[in-house]
Amino acid sequence: MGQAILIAEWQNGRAVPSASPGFQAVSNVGEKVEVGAHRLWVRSRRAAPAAQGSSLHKIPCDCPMPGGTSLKFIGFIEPTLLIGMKSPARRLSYFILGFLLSLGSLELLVRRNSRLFEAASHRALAKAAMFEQHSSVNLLFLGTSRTQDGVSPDLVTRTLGEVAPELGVVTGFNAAFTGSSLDALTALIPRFGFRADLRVVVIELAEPQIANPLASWVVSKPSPETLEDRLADSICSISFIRYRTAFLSDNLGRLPALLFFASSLGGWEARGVDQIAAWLGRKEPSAVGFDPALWTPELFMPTGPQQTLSPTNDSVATQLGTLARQFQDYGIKVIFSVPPLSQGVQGAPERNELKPVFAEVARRGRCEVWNFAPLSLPRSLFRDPSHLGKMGRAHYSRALGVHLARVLKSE
Amino acid sequence: MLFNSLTFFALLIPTLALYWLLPWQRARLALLLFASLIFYGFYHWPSVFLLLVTIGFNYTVGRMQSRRRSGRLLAAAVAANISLLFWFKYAAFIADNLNGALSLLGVSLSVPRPPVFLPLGISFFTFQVIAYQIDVYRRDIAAERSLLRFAVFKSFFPQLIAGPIVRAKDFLPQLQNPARFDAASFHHGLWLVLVGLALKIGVADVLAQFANEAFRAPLTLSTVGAWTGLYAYGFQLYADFWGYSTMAVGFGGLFGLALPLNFDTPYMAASLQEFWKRWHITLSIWFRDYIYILLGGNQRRQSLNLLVTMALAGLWHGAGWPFVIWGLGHGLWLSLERRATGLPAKNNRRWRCLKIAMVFQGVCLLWVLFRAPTLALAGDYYSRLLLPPFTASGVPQKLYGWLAIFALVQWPLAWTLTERRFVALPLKMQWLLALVCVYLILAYAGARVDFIYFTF
Repeated sequence: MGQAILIAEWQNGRAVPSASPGFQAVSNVGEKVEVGAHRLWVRSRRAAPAAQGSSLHKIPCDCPMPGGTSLKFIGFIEPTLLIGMKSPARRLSYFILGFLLSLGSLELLVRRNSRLFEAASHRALAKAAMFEQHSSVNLLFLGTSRTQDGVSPDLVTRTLGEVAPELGVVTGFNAAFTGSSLDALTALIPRFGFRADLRVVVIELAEPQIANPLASWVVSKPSPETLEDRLADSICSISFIRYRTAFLSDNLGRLPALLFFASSLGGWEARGVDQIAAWLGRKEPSAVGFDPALWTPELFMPTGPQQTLSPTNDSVATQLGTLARQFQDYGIKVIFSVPPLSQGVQGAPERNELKPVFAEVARRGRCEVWNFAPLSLPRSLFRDPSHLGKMGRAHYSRALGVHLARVLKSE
Repeated sequence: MLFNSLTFFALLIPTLALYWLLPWQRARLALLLFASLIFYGFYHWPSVFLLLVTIGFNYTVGRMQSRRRSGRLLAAAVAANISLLFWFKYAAFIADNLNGALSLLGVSLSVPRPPVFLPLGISFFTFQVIAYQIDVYRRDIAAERSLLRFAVFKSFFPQLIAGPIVRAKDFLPQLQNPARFDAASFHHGLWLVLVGLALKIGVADVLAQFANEAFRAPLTLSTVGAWTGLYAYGFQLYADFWGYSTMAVGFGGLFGLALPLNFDTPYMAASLQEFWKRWHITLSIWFRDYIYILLGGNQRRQSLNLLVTMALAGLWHGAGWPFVIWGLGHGLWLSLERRATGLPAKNNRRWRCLKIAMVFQGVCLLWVLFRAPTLALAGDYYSRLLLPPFTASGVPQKLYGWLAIFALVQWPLAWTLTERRFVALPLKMQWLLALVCVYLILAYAGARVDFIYFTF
């Protein structure tokens, strides 16, 4: 055991062939060296420092040899040329086996959490999957990034607890997402509507939501035409390939929340830092200096007069009305809310042109529309002209809480 | 058929399995030829006939040359191969320029533009057979006796479309006897294929989005946007060609056939001369051996020889004036560099780093001509790079991350690609690296962007 076989000597920085009977020349990694009865393979061309006080250049290695012996080190044949290692065939087998096992483990992981991996591929699906992981949701907020950034369900819950304690604990979830569109919302209704505990849905009514294009996951895939398409389709039976978009850098960030702590999130936490803070139990600060008079929205009631709309707006109003009725069919109340805008947004259609649409949506959807867009709010509440900041979120959430209390009490 | 397509792997895997199961060399060669023709014909099947005709023609000329050495025969063979290349690649370019010149002279005559399809890889396999004919004529090699071996040499699919330009003296002897299965070579080949795919899909195709956006409308870019767009293209091209070259060598290794190194971290070059020893190495060697030295090399009119060689190298890359000017730019730089060799040299690390940065910057500046489809667009791009107003808006933050990560990762990655070092790494490290590659391939697959060098 531990026997050394010397096959070269190190002199003046060069390895010189020794008189050892095992000497032979090799030149490439993986090449075989026969030393007596033993077979070794070149593993590296790198040199290790020579043993102190010795002219011999000794390379440590760990090669169990046949017959119970163990070769601990061998020397150089040429400068920087030789170290013993396992058989390349065995090494190749181990590499392939380990590689396949790793892929198999990945497949198992993805297959067991296929819904979550699918959800990670789009922010809308991620929100729906998070919603499903919450044990109780009474209020659901839908919309674009304006609502995502602007509503903290926890603050709405706390406000409701203050202004209407008789309602008990009313829990909420913010399922709004950047780039939301009417088609995306329509496609998501079956996933949101089945919950018996859901009482009110607050849907953002704003120009971006109306104008945004279809989300990629809503668009149906074309049927395969080429051989390449058919092959791509056939390998999609492997889960980690089917849900591979979950591994894109943008989507990958959603996986930890989806896999580990979705139920502790309120849904507004788009950034990883906010998600971790929410997971660790941090509470959002309440609105300081909230002025209920300032936060009184323009109201559109279902009983309002009929409006004449352009064909485009008419179709939008019909679609929104249908959306509302689909939720109502599940026994869920619907409120449309137009989020606040800073005074910096010039000519926002929500302040004027879209008012007839709002009125008509209220009429056709048989629900209230709350328009917060015309309010004159301090600029400090906004992160940018159309998105609320931290304090703005606190104020808007409180305003929604106050008005939702009225709706919930009237049930 | 792209290396980064499923169809390619659907062809490769059974071919590879059958190849190693067949004990007879002739059967193996026939299989390789068959697979290569499918590979080539998949993109445009009539091109297969062109390939077969050039194989038959060059094989016959080579045999005749071996029986009786003839300069005229060599000239005829070279002329025939060049004519083919000219017809398919340059006829339209020449017609356009003739028409332009005629209209400038006020002549109301129009040269018809031939509606020809550019067969994939024609520049590569034409250069390969020209080298073969010259080597046979010079008696550097013996003319290949077996048509099958010659056909495989000419059409071996890993190198058929975008190189490396394999020399007959290196490749043909490998086809003489059945290759013995070498586990280490196969192991290393697998790693090269994985890395090449990851470089192509996970780096080049991602950077392509930024580069395409930058070159779409250069005048709308800020100064910083133009520079980062240029770096994105510089690294896109780098990763694209590196990925292709690595895969080609890897596929060769899987079949037990060694293909020459074609790419060796060229952005680490401290001079343009060194750059060309690291970038598309086999093409550089071809131009050196068959153009530059024939023109006189370093012996006489060195600067002119460099200019002509590099202009031709530019033209080889594409039938367009931007390519020619790109080549001339390189030629001029190389000749200036040669003249500066008399200056006192500093051989410390800091000085080398500075030179590497300067060469990288200069090469990137010349890439504008390589990427821009017209001289006008190249001019627009240069104006945003170098002229006021100097602005800094509109750069996607992600791009900085991609460029920084790739710039840093390329050295350790390149280290694993030579001398079979990957095979010697601890297995855990091998699995980890392989999974990183799989991650990049999985996450970013789907763009199916052609390799840039496929179009040359």
